[in-house]
Amino acid sequence: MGEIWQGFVEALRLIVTFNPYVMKIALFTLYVCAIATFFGMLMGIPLGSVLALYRFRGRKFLVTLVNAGMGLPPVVVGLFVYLFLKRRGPLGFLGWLYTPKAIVIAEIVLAMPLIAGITMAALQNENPKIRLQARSLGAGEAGSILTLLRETRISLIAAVIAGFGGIISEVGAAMMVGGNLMLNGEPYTRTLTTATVQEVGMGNSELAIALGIILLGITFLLVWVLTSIQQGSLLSEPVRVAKSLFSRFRKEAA
Amino acid sequence: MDFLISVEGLRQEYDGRQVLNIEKLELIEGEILAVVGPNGSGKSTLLRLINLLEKPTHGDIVYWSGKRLSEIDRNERRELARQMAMIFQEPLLFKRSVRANVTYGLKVRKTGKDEREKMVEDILAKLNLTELADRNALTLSGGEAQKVTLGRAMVLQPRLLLMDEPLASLDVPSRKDLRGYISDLVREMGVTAIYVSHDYHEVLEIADRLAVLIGGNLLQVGKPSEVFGRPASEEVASFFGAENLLEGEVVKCREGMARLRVKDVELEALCELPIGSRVKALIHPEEVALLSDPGDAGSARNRLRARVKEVHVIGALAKVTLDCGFPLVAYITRASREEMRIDAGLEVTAVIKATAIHVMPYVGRPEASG
Amino acid sequence: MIGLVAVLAIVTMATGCGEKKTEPVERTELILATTTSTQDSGLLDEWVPMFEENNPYSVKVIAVGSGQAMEMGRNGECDVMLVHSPSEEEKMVAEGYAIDRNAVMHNNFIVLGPASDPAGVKSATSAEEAFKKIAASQQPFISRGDDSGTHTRELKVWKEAGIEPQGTWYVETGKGMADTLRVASERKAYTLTDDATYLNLKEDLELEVLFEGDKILYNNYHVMDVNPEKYPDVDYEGAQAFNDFCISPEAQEFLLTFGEDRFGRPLFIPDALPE
Repeated sequence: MGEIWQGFVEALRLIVTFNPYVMKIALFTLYVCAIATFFGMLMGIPLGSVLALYRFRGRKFLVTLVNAGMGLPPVVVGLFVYLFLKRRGPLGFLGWLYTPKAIVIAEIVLAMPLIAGITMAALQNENPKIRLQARSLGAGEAGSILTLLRETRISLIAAVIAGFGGIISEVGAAMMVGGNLMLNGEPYTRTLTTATVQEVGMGNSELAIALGIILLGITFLLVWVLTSIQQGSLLSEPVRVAKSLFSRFRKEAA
Repeated sequence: MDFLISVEGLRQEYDGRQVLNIEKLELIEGEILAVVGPNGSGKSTLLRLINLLEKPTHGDIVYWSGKRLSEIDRNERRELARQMAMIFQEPLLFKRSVRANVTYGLKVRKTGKDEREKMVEDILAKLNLTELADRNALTLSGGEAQKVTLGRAMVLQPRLLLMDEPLASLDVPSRKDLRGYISDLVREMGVTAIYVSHDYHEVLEIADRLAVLIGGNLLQVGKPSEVFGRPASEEVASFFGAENLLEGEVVKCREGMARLRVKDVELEALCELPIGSRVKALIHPEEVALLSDPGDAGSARNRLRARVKEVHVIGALAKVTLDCGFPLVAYITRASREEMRIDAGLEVTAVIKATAIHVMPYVGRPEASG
Repeated sequence: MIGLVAVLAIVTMATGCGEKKTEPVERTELILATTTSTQDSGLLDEWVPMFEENNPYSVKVIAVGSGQAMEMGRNGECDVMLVHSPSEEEKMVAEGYAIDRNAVMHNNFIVLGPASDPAGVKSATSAEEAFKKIAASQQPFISRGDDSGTHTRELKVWKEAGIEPQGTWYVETGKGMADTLRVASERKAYTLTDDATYLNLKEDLELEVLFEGDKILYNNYHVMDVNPEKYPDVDYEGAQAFNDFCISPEAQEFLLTFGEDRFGRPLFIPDALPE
């Protein structure tokens, strides 16, 4: 217990003093996870939408792939991405192995099926007539799908939380394709998870616990923000008030 | 008379099954046309085709701009679609405020913010929804929700409003309420409307014309009184729940007046069909008068001796089932019934004017008129 | 919503912590494959900056088990290797996959176990004897089981002792040295480790040094270049530069004091000191 408390104190100290090593690793972790989640959404939401709303040959097979993809073990994904990106691999010429790009790729592969699968399930649960109504009010095909997506926004945010949560906490793939590297004395492909493993291996328990606590803290904070948006409380109220104040100010200035 | 849209040879098939087949139907600008028929008769399909939500297997629709469904490109299609709006039996409201729901179509059309707000507030006021404007649309009652649906469509000032059984899921008071709003708003804004329903009673009040669609075929179009009072075929008559539909044969015909033999009884009716034709005769129960004394029959041609089999009081009316050689149903007022002391077993005289017997040919489906 | 995520991404990108910083010196990337125990000793955290100060390279240290490190060399997935598995290394050189093999440093493997020493290892006079005693007493023994240098050495000792380690008392973790030691500590079991890792973790472990000093337990580290004749696209020049560095006076003299402040004695003994 004392160990954990010491780690907590150490974590606070590192944060408050903006310890460069820890800060860089934390920001790097956020960076790759944000990018991977973004691309996961960019590809996953349309894919989930198409699978939910259209019938075509091979659809069942694709749906199975997506559903299976939701349960992909991160380490296996890391292995396959490694095999593709290594020097002798088919994509070796890209030289992406042991760079942040490799971690982002692996994380996109992990996040996208998750986001696609949940989006698909959410849309299939919605009344399909809503799309018809939207179109009869003048929306185009894409517009009606966007309207339907807005109706399921609670589930969509859950999908994003699931995708993001999955990748910020994984360590196997990041380790395998990123290498947990320092470059020129700076953290280069070191994420909070791989760094924690590293510090444990080196016997720096306090630092490891501190990193772990920071990881938990960041994850919790981000999920809290996303949940607020989803449940429409914390953020939307002040945002709405700010918006109306701003527009009133503009009207008066005009 | 300006036609807003004109349907030509329109046919729709799903998986080889034909669900709609309309040779010709014209919509008069400014009218409310009710399309009635039993469930599954193709009414909703017709609306979806007109609203450009589906493509027909055959046929064409000519719109007000002269554009034909078969000839328009994507942009024209979108332009056209934006001049129409449709509301359904389910409110299908979005998970937003009432105001946001009503604003939806205007946002899609990229209407300017100030103009948008004014139009929305206007419609909300007309429908007495201003107080509910900020409520989440999903918390409304059935009647309120359908009002919002109506507002959401009407705020777009469509040239053509399509309504697919909008009142079907509401309770009776809400139906009356909403029917009034629909009628007032549509007339006030000069919108042409097509109103689809399987319940013809609710449209009799507001429809200018009635179109009867059964099994995908347009059987009759005309004023409600025409269609209802003089159905073009037995099918149409059955749909309106004709109580007295008799089978018979023309035995005499002279100067437009014919004698029909129904079972063993002869009736005189207005009819131009040749002798020997098999016919169906429709007699509205309200037009059958009952007399205790045959002498009071007046000028009516048909006086039949009848025995009362059953009396059923419904509100202010009494439904009297008689046997006059064939089964006959008459509606009389409760007061008359009490006065004449009509009960089962009593012998009375049933009096029917020749003009009150509507004769239809028995064989096949006649051409759709209108 | 997408906006929030994108903003986050842009902000962190702007703080410039995704890619290398642009430097005045043009640096080439050099991939060094080494073992987790070498990495965990912290030596490379000192050596790499020292090397990069005078050499225009950015060293990427990939720390995996010895077996995997040399497999990477065989596949041309790295440029230079720093490993401690002599028999395997010799094979690689003989087969032409590695060249310029130089002795860099060594420390010792030691046998750890519970203070109570139920197998009586303390009284053994050789590594083989120690292992024989453990097998005889069927006391739990935790092995790395991952083809690492430590594991290979452990298997060599079992072979010399004429024993095939089998049974419920013999557990393989498949993990790195640190994790394996933790397991041994939890189970109050015997295990073989390099002394550098042990010194690093000593405070967290409930194990004692019960046997050391046998020649068979010398842990020798060598540096090797991947043969450019097999893989022309490896950075042979860079590998040579790092190779030279490892046996340079600067690096070697550094070893004389590395670890002293923390453990009272250096973690490695240099093998290429100038006369």
